[in-house]
Amino acid sequence: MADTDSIVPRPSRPWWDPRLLLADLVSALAIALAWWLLSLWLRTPTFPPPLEALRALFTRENGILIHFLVSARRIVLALLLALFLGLPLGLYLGRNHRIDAVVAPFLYLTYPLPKIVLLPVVMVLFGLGDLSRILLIVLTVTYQILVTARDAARALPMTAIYSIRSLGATEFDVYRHVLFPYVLPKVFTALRISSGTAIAVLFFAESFATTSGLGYLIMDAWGRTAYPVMFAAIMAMSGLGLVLYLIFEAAEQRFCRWTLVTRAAGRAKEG
Amino acid sequence: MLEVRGVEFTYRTGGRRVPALTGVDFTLAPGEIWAVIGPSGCGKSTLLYLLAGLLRPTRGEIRFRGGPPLAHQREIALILQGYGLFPWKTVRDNVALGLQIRGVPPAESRRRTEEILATVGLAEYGDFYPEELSGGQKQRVAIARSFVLEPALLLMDEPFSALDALTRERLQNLLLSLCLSREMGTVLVTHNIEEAVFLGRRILVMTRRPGRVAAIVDNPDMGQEGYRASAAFLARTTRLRELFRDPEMGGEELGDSGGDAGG
Repeated sequence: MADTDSIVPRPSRPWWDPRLLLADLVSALAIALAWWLLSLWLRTPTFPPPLEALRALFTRENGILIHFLVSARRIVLALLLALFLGLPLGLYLGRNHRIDAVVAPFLYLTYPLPKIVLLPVVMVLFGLGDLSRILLIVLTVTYQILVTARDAARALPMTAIYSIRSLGATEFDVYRHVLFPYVLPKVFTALRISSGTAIAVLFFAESFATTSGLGYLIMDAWGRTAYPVMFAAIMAMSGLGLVLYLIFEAAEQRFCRWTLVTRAAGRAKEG
Repeated sequence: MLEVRGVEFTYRTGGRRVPALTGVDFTLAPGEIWAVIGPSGCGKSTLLYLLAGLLRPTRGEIRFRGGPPLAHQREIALILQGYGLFPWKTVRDNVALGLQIRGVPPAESRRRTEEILATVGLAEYGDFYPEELSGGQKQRVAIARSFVLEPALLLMDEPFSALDALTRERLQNLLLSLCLSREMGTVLVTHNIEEAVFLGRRILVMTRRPGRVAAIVDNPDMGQEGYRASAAFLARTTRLRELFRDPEMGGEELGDSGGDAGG
């Protein structure tokens, strides 16, 4: 068949699929079990069993919820900012090859640079507040979104442009109706992947010159040898990463519903 | 309505010049259906892009209603090979897209969309995504998307080449009745001889690359009841087939009928 199915939807299951949820639950229990066995074997206060960490997680005096919310705010703001910077710029570069040719060498040169090493520079320029910590994440994640969006936009078949142009589309219509929806699933994938990196950067950014956030709490509890609290904070940070991941997955399935459509579903033969 | 005068087109790829079309002349009267037929790579698709205003002729002139065709001028509709549907939009949104872009009020857009979906027999498929449809149904959506704009000129690039023989005939009948009832000027590119004879009031025969006009065959019986089964239809397809025996014309490539997959 010579149709435009070059944009093949990726078959996947909705995140609420019971089989997936069951698999998630089993995996979580397996990890807890391994943790518990390891703590039995090590028999040291530096490695408390999971239930003790869980108790610390829900002990109000530890203030884990507050630190969680501070961290969540930083990372959500950072990801939104990265999205609003990286996505439009990536689409634009993917569509305008001449400008991309000028910008691309700069991107290639700075892309491999671990942005995290700019921490001192960012803190000198933007102070020791939230802004610096957010910007450090933005620096890291924007690249990934920008490069993903640009490469995806570049791959758009010329016939798709002809198709909408022939309907009388302006350049804005091309972005709105073709380019943006075409790259969106890939951008969500990039966001999901970079949420892990973003958490890592957040941890580092919070472990220095601050008194709030889960990264601070982990380092502080370590210093106080409050190991259950440290593990509780680690769990909270993992939870934050997981929640972000799930949000992006749910958003992708909500806004890119067409990718869930399989060829088999509801197909009625020409009758 | 559409005049093509001495049109040449040359592609430039990395400093190389590849001539695609040379010396194409013809005039299409309002409401007339033209079939363009020729061997693969003869520049048929290039000709359509030129007529649609997506490309500009290297030499010569195209005039549509007195001026050069412009891509954003909404009297010309183009149906590309492979339907050109957007998989992220439902059937209804694909069909309504042209109206939306032209700023037609939502209520009217909705009414016209439902109307044309019913006309092409897809009234119940508005909420489907293109991926959920068969090839023939996708082609119906593409036809609906063009016709809903009520263009004066319809351009189609091998519209039915990927379909099975039965579906193809059914859609050819649908297209013919739509074009004739709306008196829409149509240029249809094909490499199927039967299709050209069934749908083309005039048949523009092109040579191998760089394509030029080898012949313009008049086909006055087109559109008559039962034409496909008539002796005149057979005679005309046989004549065209003989024309293509000439090695200059692409040899046997277009000689066989019916079941070629095209593309």
